[in-house]
Amino acid sequence: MTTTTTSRLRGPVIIGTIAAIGSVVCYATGQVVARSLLSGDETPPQVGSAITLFVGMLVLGAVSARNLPKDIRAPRRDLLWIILAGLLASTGAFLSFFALSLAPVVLASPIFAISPLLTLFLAAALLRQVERITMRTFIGAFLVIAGVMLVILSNQ
Amino acid sequence: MTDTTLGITLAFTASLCWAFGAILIRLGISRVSPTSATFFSVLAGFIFVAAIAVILDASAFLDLTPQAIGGFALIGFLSFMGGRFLYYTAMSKIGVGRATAMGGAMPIIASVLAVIFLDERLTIQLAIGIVAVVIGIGLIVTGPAQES
Repeated sequence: MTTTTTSRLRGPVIIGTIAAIGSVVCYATGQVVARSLLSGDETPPQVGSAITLFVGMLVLGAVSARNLPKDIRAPRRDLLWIILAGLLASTGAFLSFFALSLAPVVLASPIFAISPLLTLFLAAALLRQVERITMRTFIGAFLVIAGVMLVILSNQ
Repeated sequence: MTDTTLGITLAFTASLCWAFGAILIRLGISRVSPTSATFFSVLAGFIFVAAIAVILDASAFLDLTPQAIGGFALIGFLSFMGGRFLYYTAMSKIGVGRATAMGGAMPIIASVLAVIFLDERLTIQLAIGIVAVVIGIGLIVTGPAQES
């Protein structure tokens, strides 16, 4: 990779890295808020999920209002991928509730934690034309998941 | 098939759903802004989940307490306006590989926040886990760019 290309990529890499860390912190804060505010609450998970999604949809609708007219004219296939991804994310969350009601947490939680590794294998197999997954990323992901597994298994 | 086997199968299927979802977003986000992409994905998820919630027990919506509504609203803001939007932004900038690998650290970050804000105990396992996550993220971030 040339120096020029490296310089060109540095800005997006910094923004992307900060966004990835910010995303993790937001999801984690959501979990802590759930444990703090909703412990003992008996709302069915699908009702709670529907409310969280409704609020997210309202806020995002307001924030993306300026871009929506342009983005709605994007290629239909791109929009289809995004909508399918949203359905898969919700289906995954839904299945995880059922999985936890049937299998012990000690078995189910580590399986959820390997999802990033599955993503990397799928990306390496299916996104060859779009993105190159390096061995360094696999090793980094393995370390992240090993650390998470250690904490999950020690908490059971 | 025992309940445990079915539960493990469902857990693995859930992980596959999330993994395929990340791949599809990577394919779809190149010509759509991250805010609109997040909106479309959340809209689709809402229609799906709301339909299931109504089919299973519509009256459960009437039993919600103000505290539960406020709590779920705050979680919705954090998870979608914060978590998912930033995840899609990260994916569009550094690719699905790096963004997802870093996203895997979420349980550790949640544990660290619980130690800080909920007075939970910092265990040796958590300390080792934090070190592993920091080294792992360091490796991912300092690696070469991943565009083909």
